[in-house]
Amino acid sequence: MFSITRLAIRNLAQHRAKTIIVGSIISLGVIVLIVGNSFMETARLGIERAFINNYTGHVMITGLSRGDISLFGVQSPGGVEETPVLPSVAAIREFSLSLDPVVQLTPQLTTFGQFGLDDVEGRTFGLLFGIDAETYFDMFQSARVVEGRLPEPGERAMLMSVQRAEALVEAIARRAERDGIEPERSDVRVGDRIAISSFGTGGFRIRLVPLVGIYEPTSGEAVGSEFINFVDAETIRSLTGLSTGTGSEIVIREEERTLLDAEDFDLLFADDGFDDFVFDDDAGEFSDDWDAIFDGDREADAEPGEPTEADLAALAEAAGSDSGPWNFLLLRLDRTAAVPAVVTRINAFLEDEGIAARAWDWEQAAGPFATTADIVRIVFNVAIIIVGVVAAIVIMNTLVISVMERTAEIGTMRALGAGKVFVWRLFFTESLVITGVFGLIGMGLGSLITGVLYLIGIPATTTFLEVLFAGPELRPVVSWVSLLGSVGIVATVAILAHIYPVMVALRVQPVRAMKVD
Amino acid sequence: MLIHRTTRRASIALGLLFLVSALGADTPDFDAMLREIDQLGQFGDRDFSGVYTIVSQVPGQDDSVTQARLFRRDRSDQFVLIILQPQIQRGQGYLQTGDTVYFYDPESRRFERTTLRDSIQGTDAQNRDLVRGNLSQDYRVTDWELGRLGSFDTYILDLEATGTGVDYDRIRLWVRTDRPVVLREENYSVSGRLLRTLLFPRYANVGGQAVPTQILIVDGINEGERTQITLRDPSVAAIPDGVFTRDYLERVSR
Repeated sequence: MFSITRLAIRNLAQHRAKTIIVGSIISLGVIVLIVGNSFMETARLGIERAFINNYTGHVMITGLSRGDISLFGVQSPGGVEETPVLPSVAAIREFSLSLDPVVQLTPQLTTFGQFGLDDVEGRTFGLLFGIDAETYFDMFQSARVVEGRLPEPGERAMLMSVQRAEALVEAIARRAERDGIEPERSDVRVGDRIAISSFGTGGFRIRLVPLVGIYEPTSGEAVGSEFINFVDAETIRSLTGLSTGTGSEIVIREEERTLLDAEDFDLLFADDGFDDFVFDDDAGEFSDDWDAIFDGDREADAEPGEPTEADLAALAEAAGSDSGPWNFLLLRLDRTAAVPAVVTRINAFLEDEGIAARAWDWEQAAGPFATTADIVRIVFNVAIIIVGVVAAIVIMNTLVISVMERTAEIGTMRALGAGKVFVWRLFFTESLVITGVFGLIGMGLGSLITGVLYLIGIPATTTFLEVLFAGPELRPVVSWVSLLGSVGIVATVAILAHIYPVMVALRVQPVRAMKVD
Repeated sequence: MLIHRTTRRASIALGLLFLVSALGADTPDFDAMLREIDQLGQFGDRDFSGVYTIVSQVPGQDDSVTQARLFRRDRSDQFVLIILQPQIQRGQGYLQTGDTVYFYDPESRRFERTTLRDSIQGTDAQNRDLVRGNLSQDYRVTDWELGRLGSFDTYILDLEATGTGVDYDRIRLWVRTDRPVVLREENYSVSGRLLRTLLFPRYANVGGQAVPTQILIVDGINEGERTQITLRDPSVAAIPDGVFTRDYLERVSR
């Protein structure tokens, strides 16, 4: 074995020019693969870290929905469907926490809302995360308060993102300009009363909540944070009607729903359909008491913006625990590798118990953000694969030509008594040596280039790149997997590239082979 | 031979001219028809009120029911819509005064600006479906054909928005040929996608105006989603001025 290695090295040294050409191509291939892989891997890990650490945790558990569900709501054809309420929260919570890898759990509500300063015209839109302040900010350290403080557990409060606060100021200015007046406010301050309006089971609703803080993302990784605002769960429940149920049964007349079952629309127009009679001016049940248009009395007045008694009753029921209505349970695990197993176990539990809910991994939880990043990453992967294939073809071609040129040498070796196996082993060893040496050089240069890019940092100049890079800039890091993987790929290519030409050369009779110049 | 050919050409030209003029004579004045449709649904100097029941059907869910009382005063572009049921939404209301539409939430006692294109309590019904339209000003007829819907001969009109301030860029209307009553309406997006279909099988003559008493709205995007709007207790009794105010919404919902 040693003699073959020595012979292989001597051969490589003898064909120095060819060795350097083939070796350089191998090095280049390794560099391309290492730098490309480092980009991909860093971006992938960045997105994963950003979402797991800042919003989604490792696992998300939700109620069932018709559309694609993520932490940001349900995407459905024609608009945003209401986010389903998670059933049997307490049982799911208890089971999840009993699983070894689960180290933290927090519940969450999500809705979209329009908000602004109370009694000041001008509104902006944003995502509203209804949270349990006691567990949420322990699990996610995504918010750094720049003004005010974090909401306290059980407190009715809002924590607004810096970007939404700025958007609100702009909206106030725009509204004032449209109305031809001076803007009533030029800033948003801690202590302001924020009027939030949203739509849910209880129809369109408005709630007032004090602004206790304004935050910015803790790290540059919090993609999409500019849209997210944190509000106490009770306020979100009250806004979306989760705390007050669906209301009493309404009795309707048969003719008030007959059209819904119509299959042939033409049949709806079978008769004249025009009730050609004239009402008296005084017709109708409603003419005198303009202030009594409801059948019964409303419940006692609550303070404006405060929850009603029905709200409070529902809240009292949920008090002392977080088993009230929630949209999501988010779990943090002790390791990312345990995600598939935990998701499978929770889903099996949900199925066994007949609970209409499902567990998802963080990528599903990240929703459109991860999907966008995934698509770009696939395109990026394809580009790298194309570059890799081109590099492999070039390496193969060069090696094929190099071996073919040595047909005479192979013939001579065979004539001198070298067996086919010996020739195979010699060329195999040559391939290993050349890929080993130049692969190492490629690894070194690839790591160096990646290191320089890490030091410089590649800025994300657009929001699109920010999503892809999971932050304002990408600092690629070389991983052992990409190092060894790249060398492995190139070595395989180099070794495979020898098989065909050596096979052809060995088929030629030694005498004829020796005649080849 | 030349004379014969010239005579034949002249005959054909005259025939075509006659045909064109004959067809032209049968083409209705669609601008006037749109104005008539608008006028038939407007109450002018009289007020209008009624109770609307909105039943919304979504596959896999229980039907949702909303009842609301509408007060309209078309002469000053005002309306008030107050939710009567379900209990959870009772007292919520919409108020239009001029170009501004407000939503009122009785629990927080706050008003928010909104628009006519907002859906009513999450159904496919929009505020604009319950108040007067302005087809003749907002749209122009780009094409038409004769058709039949059920027992009725209809003009099928393709309408295109004349400006940008409308909810739908394109509308297709089925209008009875014997009276300017819309039986069916299709709303399309800018890209030509069917967004919703409205059917008006029943009308009532309320104080001389035609008001749809049953409307079926079929969602064009979400299959199986339908909404029925039914009008009862229509009245043209005079409504006090104070009804069309924010104070009234606050007072009445207490």
